[in-house]
Amino acid sequence: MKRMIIMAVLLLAAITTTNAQARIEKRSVGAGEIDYITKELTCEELTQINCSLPVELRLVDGEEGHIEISYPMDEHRYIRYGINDGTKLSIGRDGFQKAPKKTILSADTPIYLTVSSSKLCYILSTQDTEVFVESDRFADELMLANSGYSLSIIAKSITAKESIKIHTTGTMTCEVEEWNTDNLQLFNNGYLYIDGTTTAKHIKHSSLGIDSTRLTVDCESLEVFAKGEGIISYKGTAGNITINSLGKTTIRTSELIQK
Amino acid sequence: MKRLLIIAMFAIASVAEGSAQEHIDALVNRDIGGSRSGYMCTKRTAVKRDPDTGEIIKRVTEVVIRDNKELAKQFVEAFKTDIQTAEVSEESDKRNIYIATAIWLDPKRIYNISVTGDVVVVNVQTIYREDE
Repeated sequence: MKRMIIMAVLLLAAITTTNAQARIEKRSVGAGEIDYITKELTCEELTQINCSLPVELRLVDGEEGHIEISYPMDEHRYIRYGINDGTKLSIGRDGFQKAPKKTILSADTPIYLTVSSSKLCYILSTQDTEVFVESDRFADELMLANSGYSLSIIAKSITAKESIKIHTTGTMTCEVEEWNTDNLQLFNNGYLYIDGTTTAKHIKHSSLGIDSTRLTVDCESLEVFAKGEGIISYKGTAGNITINSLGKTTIRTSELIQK
Repeated sequence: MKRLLIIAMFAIASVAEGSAQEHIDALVNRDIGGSRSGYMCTKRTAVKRDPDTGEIIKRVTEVVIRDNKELAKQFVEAFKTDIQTAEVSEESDKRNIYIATAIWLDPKRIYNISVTGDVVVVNVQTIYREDE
């Protein structure tokens, strides 16, 4: 009997070790270091990422569907993440646990997420999220949405053959040099900073918030509707141009040459 | 000397013709908005092309401005200045309503304006080739 118990305990320990696939690493935060738990997941059909907690997301080259998530050990009870419908990766607070009275999660101490997927078509942030695009691989239609706090996107280029849609009701900054797509749609109801060059044939820009847009275009049609504040500047060449301004936004098209 | 004078006169005339609508164009192509109080402005620019060759037949720009009396005044002044160089023109300035049409040729450029109080409607057409 004793032997049986010892065997069972050893077996359980082995199973636990195999399933956990977790490792603990130290990460530098400010002047000190804190323990982070790192786990790996796989989702070959990953198309959506929803972040409801501060996240630093890196889109990298690698094995299709490979996900690595790393979060502070002190917070592990309160963080919930998982894959829904085999396509959506969600990160948020555990609904069954009370949120901690004092959290260390912030833009400076975020959850680190590394994803390798070529089918991504939707990234939603409802907290402070930073996205580093190291591998420009997306689905043909891409939406980057920000609701609430801030979403920063840093990339050399973003390519989605058919369309790129950007929606923000918070603060969104896009430091992207090239937007490669046929249709570019920008909807700003908060603060939007965007610059770079786009290959889009059709551009629609609706701004009800504060805008800081500087885009170089070569398009067939450009539609701008502005009812907020800030500066919207388009230069390059365009076919049909329609601009509606009802607010204080300065819309610069004097460097835009009509085709 | 006489030749030089003739060449200089031709040069001045061609420069003057090249910038015949410069005051209006500067206002039509200006940046929109930027005022502290904000105002309504709609600007549409479209081109009509020959479907076979892709050559531009006509270029149309329409600007509608509301709630900006200062800009309305600037448009009226620009038209009054530039209309003097037009080949064909018609102007009416009565009871706070200013309406004007100015036409320049080669290429054919038709400039229309109507200003009623602080509502300005400007229509600019450049016709490179008449529709068949």
